[in-house]
Amino acid sequence: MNGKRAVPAGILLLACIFCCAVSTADTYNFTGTTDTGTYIGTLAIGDDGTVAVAIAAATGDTHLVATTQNAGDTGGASAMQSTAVSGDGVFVGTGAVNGNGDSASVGALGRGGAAIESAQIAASAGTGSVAGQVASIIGQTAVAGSLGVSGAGDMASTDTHLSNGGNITTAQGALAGEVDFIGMNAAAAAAGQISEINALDGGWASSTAVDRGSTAATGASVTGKGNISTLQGAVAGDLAGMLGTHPFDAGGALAAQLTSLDSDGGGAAWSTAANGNGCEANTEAGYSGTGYIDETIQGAGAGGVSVFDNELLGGALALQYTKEIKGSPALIIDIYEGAWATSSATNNNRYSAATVAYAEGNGTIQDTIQGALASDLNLFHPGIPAALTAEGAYAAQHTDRITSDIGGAALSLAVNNESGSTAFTTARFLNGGGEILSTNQGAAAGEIGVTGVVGVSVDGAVAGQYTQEIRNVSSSTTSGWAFTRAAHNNGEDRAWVLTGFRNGGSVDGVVQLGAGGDIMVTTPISIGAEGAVAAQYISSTASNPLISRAVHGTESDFDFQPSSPAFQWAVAGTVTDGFSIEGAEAGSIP
Amino acid sequence: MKKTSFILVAGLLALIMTMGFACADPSIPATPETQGISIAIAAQATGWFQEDQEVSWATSTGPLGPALGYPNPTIPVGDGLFIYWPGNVVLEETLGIGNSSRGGVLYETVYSESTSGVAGTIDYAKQFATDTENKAQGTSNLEVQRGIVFTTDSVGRLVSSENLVLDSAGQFSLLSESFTCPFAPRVNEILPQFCNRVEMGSDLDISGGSVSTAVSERFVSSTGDYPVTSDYRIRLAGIGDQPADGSVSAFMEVQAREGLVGMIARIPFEDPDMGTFFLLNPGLASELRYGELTSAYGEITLFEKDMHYESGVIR
Repeated sequence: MNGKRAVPAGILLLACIFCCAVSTADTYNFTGTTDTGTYIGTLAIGDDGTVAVAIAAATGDTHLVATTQNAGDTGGASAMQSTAVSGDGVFVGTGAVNGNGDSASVGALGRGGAAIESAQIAASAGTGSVAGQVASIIGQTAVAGSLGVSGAGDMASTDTHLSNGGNITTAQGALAGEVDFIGMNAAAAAAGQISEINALDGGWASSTAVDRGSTAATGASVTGKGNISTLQGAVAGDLAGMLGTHPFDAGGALAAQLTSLDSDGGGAAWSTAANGNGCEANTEAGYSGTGYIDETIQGAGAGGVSVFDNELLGGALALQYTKEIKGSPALIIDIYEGAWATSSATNNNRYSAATVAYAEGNGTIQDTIQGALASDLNLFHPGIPAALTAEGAYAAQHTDRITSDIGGAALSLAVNNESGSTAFTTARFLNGGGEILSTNQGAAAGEIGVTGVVGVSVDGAVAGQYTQEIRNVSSSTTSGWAFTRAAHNNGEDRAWVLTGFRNGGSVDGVVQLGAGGDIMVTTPISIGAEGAVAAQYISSTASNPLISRAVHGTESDFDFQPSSPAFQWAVAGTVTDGFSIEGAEAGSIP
Repeated sequence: MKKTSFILVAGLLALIMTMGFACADPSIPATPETQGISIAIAAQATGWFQEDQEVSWATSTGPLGPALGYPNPTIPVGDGLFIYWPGNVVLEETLGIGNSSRGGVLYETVYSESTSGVAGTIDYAKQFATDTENKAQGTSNLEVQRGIVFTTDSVGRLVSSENLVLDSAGQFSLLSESFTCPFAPRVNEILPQFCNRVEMGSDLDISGGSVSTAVSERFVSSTGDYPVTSDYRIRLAGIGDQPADGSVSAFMEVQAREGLVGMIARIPFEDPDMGTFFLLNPGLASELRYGELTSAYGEITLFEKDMHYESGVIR
């Protein structure tokens, strides 16, 4: 986005807000000059409890404040201003609140020699408040923000920051309100921004929403000299009422962004969400050193639905599509160095899942779609002797291409701390240039329980992948492989499969799956199975070896296939059906 | 011996009273430099004895003067309305040279004693201590204990008066600026303005008897978590089987004026450096006047009175 696009967008936003703005009663204009600065403001107080205020202030020896301010007087309260201000410290702010406590505000603040040009408006009426601004800020440090808070406690905000030099052009706004209709109550807060940051030493833009218990946030940041162009929004809300004779409450928070950024010191775009019951989900696209992110669309949401104060469905979800990420070696070694896209979810730290696309050194990730989910589902009804519960964490990705001059990987991991199960799958190359083409993979950990006519519980972790190709590029030293491993009982049972190449080559069309956990059937019969299983299939004709191994306590088995096409497996565990069968076995079908 | 019926009754009765009073002060933090003064007196004399003491101490969150500063940044807009915008760094700098982010608070206390024993034998003991440091519950900024025994076989008299005054006033302020305890009452974010005055003391004029008094006061504290307290106790009795002969009185006067800040509007802004806008309409919400004097004349077997003043948000 550029400033020319921001201005009409901002005008549209202000026009929308102005149309919603209604009236007020008493107005007060105030101004003052001190030894250190100047302030000018206007205030409107409606006879229905609405209040709106606009103020501009500046400090410093050479400060200047030029403003046109107006407070409305036609039935609620509204305030607006068009202000140009400069000084050592400058602030331009406008806000409104109604008698229910629904407030909305916008502000722009700069320090260290700053200048702000801003048009702001805020209005409030009986059911809500709204505020918006179009601002251009130049300063050493600067921030522009909007905030909406409903009287019921929902909050949404946007902020745009600049540290140590640069400029911000932004159009942003927030609203909050609460309405009652057909026996239901709905309260919400929302905020959005279209912003462009040109930073000399870093900047960031973020949006946050907070429901009563759930939070969602999305943001983008650059370090060093760089730019951010972002469209962001956040909303939080709650709907409560009766569904027949059932009182219900549904609430949540959501944040999303469309962002491109570039810089010479690293950058990232991220989204995160958490509900009040321990479900969290995150997604991030980032790079180190000189690089860029070209068009990441991502978001995160969290919430829940409760009936009779019992949670029926709850969870947190994070998603991203990123067109391209390019990274380079960092001056300071971090967890990642290069380019990365990650998504992860955890359900009360009992179930966790993550998926990662990673290009080390000078590397690029193209067209990655990722998501992570942590959720709880409880289906039951008083008087009905049947129930379904499902809780877990899930993560998956499709990535078109990962390329690097050093190494790269796509991996997915699931951990079930309840049953001691793990599952892991990866497509990997290292020791030289290479690439991974079209990898589809995912991982999940969780538990499903059914009671009633049948009694079944499944508890474990699973991971799998289909990768079109892993190969070397311009290097004879590159090695690559696809590997999947599953374990249960904290590693007592484990199974893995592997295929790959060394010192140049490729792996084509590999499918791998691994799972660890237990299955218990208690009704109408009693049977149980626990352990780990891994399998792979390569359809192409190639000389890549296929290896599998299974371990059950002190027992183990191993299988080797020198070439594909082949199907190969490894199984370790115990089956109990009045008697027990246990052991480890690996095998293959050429 | 001619006495009025009231004096007769007073002489026959032993007066034992306990008085209590409570309202709201946030205390005041100590100045960077503090002082401590302590005095111990023990005297046994026949003939003439005189003790005069006066302590006056005023302390304020800003420069001492008749006006209490509004918390920074505050903008009066007319009609008794105030814009208060705590946390906004630009407005704080614009409006805040020398002003505190906490509303101005002033405490002033005066303690005085004047005692003379004429034509008799006096045993006089006194412990006096004042300390301008922050004090927690159970400690005092001012503490005085006196014990006096006076006898005469002629026309000798023991005359003594003692006064303790605590005057406090404060502007509205953010409640969080004054309290550490996270469980402090949060019914309102703004601590209202207040203006309280309590005065306690005693006067006696006897030809023989024993008297003890105790004074303590606390109003300097780093936090408003501790209530402001002021205590005065007097006990007058005869010696042996002989009642004290003369007069004694003890009094307590309180004027407590408590404000209420009408919060017309509260608008938070996104960044902490932009602060939170408050539109306030402060006013007087409660005014309580209390006056009480207890006197006894004649042959006084026992006169005992215990007065306690306590003022704070957390009590």
